[in-house]
Amino acid sequence: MTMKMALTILVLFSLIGGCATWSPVDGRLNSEGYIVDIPPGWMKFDSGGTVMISRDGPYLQYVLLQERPLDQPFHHTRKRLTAQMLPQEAAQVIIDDLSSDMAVKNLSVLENTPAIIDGHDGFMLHYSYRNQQGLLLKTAYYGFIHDRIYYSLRFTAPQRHYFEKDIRTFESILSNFHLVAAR
Amino acid sequence: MWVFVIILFGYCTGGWAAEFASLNSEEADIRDLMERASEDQQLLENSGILYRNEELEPYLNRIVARLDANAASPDGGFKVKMIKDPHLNAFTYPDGTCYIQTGILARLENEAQLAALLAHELAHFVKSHAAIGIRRFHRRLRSDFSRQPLNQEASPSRAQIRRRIECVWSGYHHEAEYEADRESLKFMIRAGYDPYEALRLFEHLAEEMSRENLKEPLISGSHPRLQARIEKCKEFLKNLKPQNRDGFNKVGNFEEHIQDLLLENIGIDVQAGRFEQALQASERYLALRPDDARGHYLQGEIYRQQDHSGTDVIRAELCYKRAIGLDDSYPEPYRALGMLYYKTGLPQQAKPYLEASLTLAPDAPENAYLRNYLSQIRP
Repeated sequence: MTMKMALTILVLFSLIGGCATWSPVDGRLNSEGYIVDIPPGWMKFDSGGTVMISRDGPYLQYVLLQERPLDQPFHHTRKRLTAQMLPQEAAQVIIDDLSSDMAVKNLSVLENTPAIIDGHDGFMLHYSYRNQQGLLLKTAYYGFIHDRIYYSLRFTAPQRHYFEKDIRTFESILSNFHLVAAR
Repeated sequence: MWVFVIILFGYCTGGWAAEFASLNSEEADIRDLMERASEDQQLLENSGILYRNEELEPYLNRIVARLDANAASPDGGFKVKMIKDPHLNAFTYPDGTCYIQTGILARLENEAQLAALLAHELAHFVKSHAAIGIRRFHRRLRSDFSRQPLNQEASPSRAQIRRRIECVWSGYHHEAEYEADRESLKFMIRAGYDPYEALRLFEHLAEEMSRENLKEPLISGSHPRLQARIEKCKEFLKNLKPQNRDGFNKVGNFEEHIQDLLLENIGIDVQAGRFEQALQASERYLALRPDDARGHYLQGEIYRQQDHSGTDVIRAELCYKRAIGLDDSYPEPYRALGMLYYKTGLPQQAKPYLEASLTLAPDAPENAYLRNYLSQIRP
């Protein structure tokens, strides 16, 4: 399906069904497992364990927040995350899932380091890749495992201009990310 | 709102009519097919997924030339390239560029099986199956349109038409597959390869299907069922009556050429978490190159990561040590062994290996983790 066709159908569904899938974020995002403060002007698309937020549309920039049980399989690698994994090992599973995805072209891991997210030991990846259309994208990816749940926050934008434009905003989102105490 | 909907509808049907007009010409379809094939190949060339091997690629093309010198000549246009993909597949674009995935090449046992695979793809090209497929589809489409007006539900959508065009090269019609199987056996016999090895190629596919719980080994659903193809091939062989199997070439210098690819594909299988396949291939690789440090390191990675039982960790440790013993300047097994000891609560044992890894590969991307581990180990 072409992009034009997909957008046409999306507009038609929105008009006829009257249900918008994107909605404004009112300052704070509350999920079952975490809370995070979002700057004004960003919209969210919530599909259960995954929330996508964007200010100018996902083609220009998006932040993806995911919480997934450890036994949930990945799409492209059969490797699983386990509670005993070191952050380095968890990072390798994420890299292997990306490397095994044929839609991700020219993947290049630019940085792979330990990171602390909300006080939890995790990892940080910076990588670039080309999408199916050949556009060069860059991602900053943070992940950690806590209580049999894998949490990840990633920011993706076209490498040219848009990544640098919003990376600080993403870092501010990251610093405002907190697990809910009940977990 | 309705005005907007009507405008959108007009836009959609306008585009549809234009597309239909262009589809009215078979030549336009074939041009479209060739253009899209060329665009796809351009994407593949720039994607970083092509496997380049300066010895193996000419070797593959020499086998093609042996199978059919005319088709493989520069004017004939058939050329072979490889894709880094652990799955068992191969496909040929209508311009004669054939892409073979490393997964299927790594599974082959001898040159005759390789010849069977190449001969099959070559037969699709020589018999112009892509162009025949598009013409057949076009005639069927025209006949459908002559019976049904455009606005009926049964009219195919643009996406369906596009999909069918894609199918022309992603999976040929059943008869085309059988024809390619039959022609490939003739190519093999003429070139002096044992045609019965083609059946072994099917066995590899069947093994993979069973292991992966697949209905059919190839992505396209339009391929005839594997068992039916095996039966047809046996029938073809009976009719072709190849004499004296001992006179045929099976092995050639296949194993000499395939070793680097085997190692590459083990790495790809490990990334994809296909540990069973990776372990089987690593046994084969190490039988060919018993003193290869990278082969032992990768086998260690398979054991460590699959971690079926406590003995896997011990096996991994032995593999890493063997790799270090074979090449003490190779940093990966030091890093892996250091991590293994660190994780299993043996920090003092981990320390020298982590330090050696940092010394041997001071710019490795994961060094920040190793420094972190070392900072937590008491002197």
